[in-house]
Amino acid sequence: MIPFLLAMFDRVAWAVRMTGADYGQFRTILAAKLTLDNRRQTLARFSQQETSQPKGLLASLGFFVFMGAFVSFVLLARVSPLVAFTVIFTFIMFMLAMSLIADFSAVLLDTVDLIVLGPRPVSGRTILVARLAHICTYLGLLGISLSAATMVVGAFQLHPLFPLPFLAILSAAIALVVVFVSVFYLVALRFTDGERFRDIVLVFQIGMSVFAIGAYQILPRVVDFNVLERVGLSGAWWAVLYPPVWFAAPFELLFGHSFPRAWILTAAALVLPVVGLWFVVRVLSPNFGRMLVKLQEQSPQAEGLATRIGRRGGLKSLLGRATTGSAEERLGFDLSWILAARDRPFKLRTYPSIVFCLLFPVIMLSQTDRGLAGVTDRMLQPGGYLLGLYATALLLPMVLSQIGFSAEFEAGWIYHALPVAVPGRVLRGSTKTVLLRFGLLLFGIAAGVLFALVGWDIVPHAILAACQTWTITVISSLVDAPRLPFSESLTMTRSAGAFGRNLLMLLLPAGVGFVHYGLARIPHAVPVAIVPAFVLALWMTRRYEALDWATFEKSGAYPASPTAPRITPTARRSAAPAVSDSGAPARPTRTPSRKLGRGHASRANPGEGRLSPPLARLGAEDAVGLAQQQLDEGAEPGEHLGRAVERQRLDFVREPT
Amino acid sequence: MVEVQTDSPPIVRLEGLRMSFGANEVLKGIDLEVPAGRVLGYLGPNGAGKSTTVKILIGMLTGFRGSVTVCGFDVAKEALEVKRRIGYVPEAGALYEALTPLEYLSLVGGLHGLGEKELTEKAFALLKLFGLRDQGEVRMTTFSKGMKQKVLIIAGLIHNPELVFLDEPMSGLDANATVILKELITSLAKAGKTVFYCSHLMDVVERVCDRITIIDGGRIIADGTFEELKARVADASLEKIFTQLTRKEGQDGVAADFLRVIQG
Repeated sequence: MIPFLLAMFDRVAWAVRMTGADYGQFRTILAAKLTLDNRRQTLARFSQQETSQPKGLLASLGFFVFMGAFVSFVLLARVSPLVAFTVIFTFIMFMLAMSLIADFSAVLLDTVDLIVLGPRPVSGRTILVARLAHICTYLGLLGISLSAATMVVGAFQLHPLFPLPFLAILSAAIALVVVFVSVFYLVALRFTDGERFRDIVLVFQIGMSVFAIGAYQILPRVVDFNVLERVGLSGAWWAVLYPPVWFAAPFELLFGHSFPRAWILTAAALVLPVVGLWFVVRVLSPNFGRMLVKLQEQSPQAEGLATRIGRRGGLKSLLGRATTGSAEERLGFDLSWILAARDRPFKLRTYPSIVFCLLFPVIMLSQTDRGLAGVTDRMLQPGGYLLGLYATALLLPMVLSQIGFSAEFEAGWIYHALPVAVPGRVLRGSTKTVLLRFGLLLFGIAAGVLFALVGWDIVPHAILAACQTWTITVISSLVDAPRLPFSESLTMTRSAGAFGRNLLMLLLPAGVGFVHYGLARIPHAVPVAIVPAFVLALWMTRRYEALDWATFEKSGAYPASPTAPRITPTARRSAAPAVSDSGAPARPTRTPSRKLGRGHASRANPGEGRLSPPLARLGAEDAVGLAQQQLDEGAEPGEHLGRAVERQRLDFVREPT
Repeated sequence: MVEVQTDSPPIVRLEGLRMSFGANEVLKGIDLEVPAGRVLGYLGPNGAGKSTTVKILIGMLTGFRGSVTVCGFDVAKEALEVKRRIGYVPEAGALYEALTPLEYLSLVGGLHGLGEKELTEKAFALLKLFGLRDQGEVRMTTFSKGMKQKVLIIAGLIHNPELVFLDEPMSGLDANATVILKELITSLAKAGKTVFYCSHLMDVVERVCDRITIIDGGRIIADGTFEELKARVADASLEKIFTQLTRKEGQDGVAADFLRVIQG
């Protein structure tokens, strides 16, 4: 894919040169950026933990084609072209804007550029042109993927030449999205500091993930295209304010009926994006560079970074003191509690599922014909409210297993250097965090809603379900490969037995739910079952004591030592066994499934790197690999450079033992 | 190996320590005794096995052969008792940057049985001494390498351990902090604590260490006071002694070769 794109640019090298850019450098920069895109973990693949697959870009584009196909069906529905294309452009523009903010922010606001390219003899113009070409490539690929199905269906359904006008209008729509997103960035950067801006981006990322998982589960059940037909997009005054209508108007003119406003809307569709782009380029973007710098230099005292002192005696320490019995447990509890609230990659991995967990019962119960009204009715049936009560039990094991991973996994050395007698206790601490921080909240919402619907009858069911959820969560972490909180690399795969475990974690809540369903049919059985269920939960929680260091070692967990050189897949493949194992201060028992950053192959070979100066080895591949690793690990734009450079430096300072 | 006269029992004792990673033997039989209340400089070129030795001594790394006793406990059997009595400042140690120094120190200190009040007071006092008083409640995301290193140093010492392992603790520290740490190492020894100090900073080692052990290729190649080493190699500075002892074949012309390569 990348060689193909670069070959396309080679064809128009003259045009690039005309802008005053050096084509050779332009090509190198663009190639590096596209390679990074390809390896970046995009939201379409956010759940995949394998980030090194080379076809990343292609895979995520494939996902967009797939989503676009769903929307293109609207052309087959019996609606006017105006309505059909309004739906299509709403979808395309929404997805573009969300991707730009959620996925591409890291690239747009990339400050590694400044550090990697800054000291090199590259002209500012070349960097600018390369950057523009990169953004255009990204938007073009995305736009075409999203509308590929529409073009095919349109060519058959409307006119064989349909793709031509469509591509023209699509470009205008993309331009308008760029205008909107630019304005969004500038406003957001104007009023926030770097940290909070990243939080805003995170909200979009989570929203995008939820949309990606849930949109076509929910939307077809809720939205009726005929409603759009009836409201009369061609006449309503507010339709003028809705940009997708502008882009749909020309298609109504071509394939439907002319209406009074159509020409004005079409003119708006063609003129406004150009005006907007001009505005952004001339008026807004001179500030952009300054804003970017602002993102980078955040004063440590910046608001939002300083933790409020008052919170020290707050909920965490109250709950921690009340529920944890040993120092190890408290360590696991406190660390998980704090980091679960602050670790952005963790939030990005878990929050979409949490939102989805809340929606899940609604989706499962909703019927296309009756819409949301049907949900309430069904909720009142035993099967319905049990689904609501046990949705949390499906979610918590997943949250708990995510707590074991972190981009900062190397900091996990403390577990091994500190007097931790029973590592299982640390795990129990983080289980308690998950139960109290996430479980209580989610279960509380579900139970609260059901209480409002059903009344007092729900109370014994809720108590029983709460005990069962507790037990299920504990079992899930006991059968999982033991991971101390935030101590394992995301790219590390210890997948042995993962399938069986995942299956168990799906079946267990279902099975427990069925038992509960059965009990609900026997009079007084539910209140009576609460006591044994509670005892079982307590007993299972005690089982963590059996998780000692020996068990940890057996499962392949080993001290994430701060100086361990990383063994890369490349090194394993290319080097003889003696070399690939040399100097790795890991336990000999560990599994060879560890996969870490790319481009560090030479690091595993102690003889090779010792004499070469850091910069000499900061070749293109290494630099790309490093920056990529930062991206993979979810590091935010501002952090890239400093960490990448520092890490690179550390890696050379580190000795292989 | 040079015997060191001592009146106190050794706090660290290594006998025939061997460690391999796969087919690669990193430590090939280390015998070492460190008496209490001393500062031992543990030196060696990159890849000599320094950090591996330290990780074995503090109970982080298992699977070694030989006998390792620290603070009177067998590390292989009673790593937990060892960990309770020691402090460790790792080389290029990572920490959870999303935490504030105070939170980090609480987590670490909590495991050493320090009470919350005592911990907070100590942490603030120590942070203040290192010039981090105003940053105690700020997340470490924005910290420089030196600031993080200061937090790691505090974390390794806050529980008042009797034996401290410092693995290149100066990295990233500014000149002022380096001076403080040097004095601190000496004061720790005066207070009867033992310091096991790994470093490449020869002038610091020369000044603060009572005894210097140099390893290379997984073996001890020199051991004794600075004076003894000087007498043996007949050179004035530890740096020269070190390079004389550990130089490799063909190391002489490296700088010249380097220049030749970059000049094409």
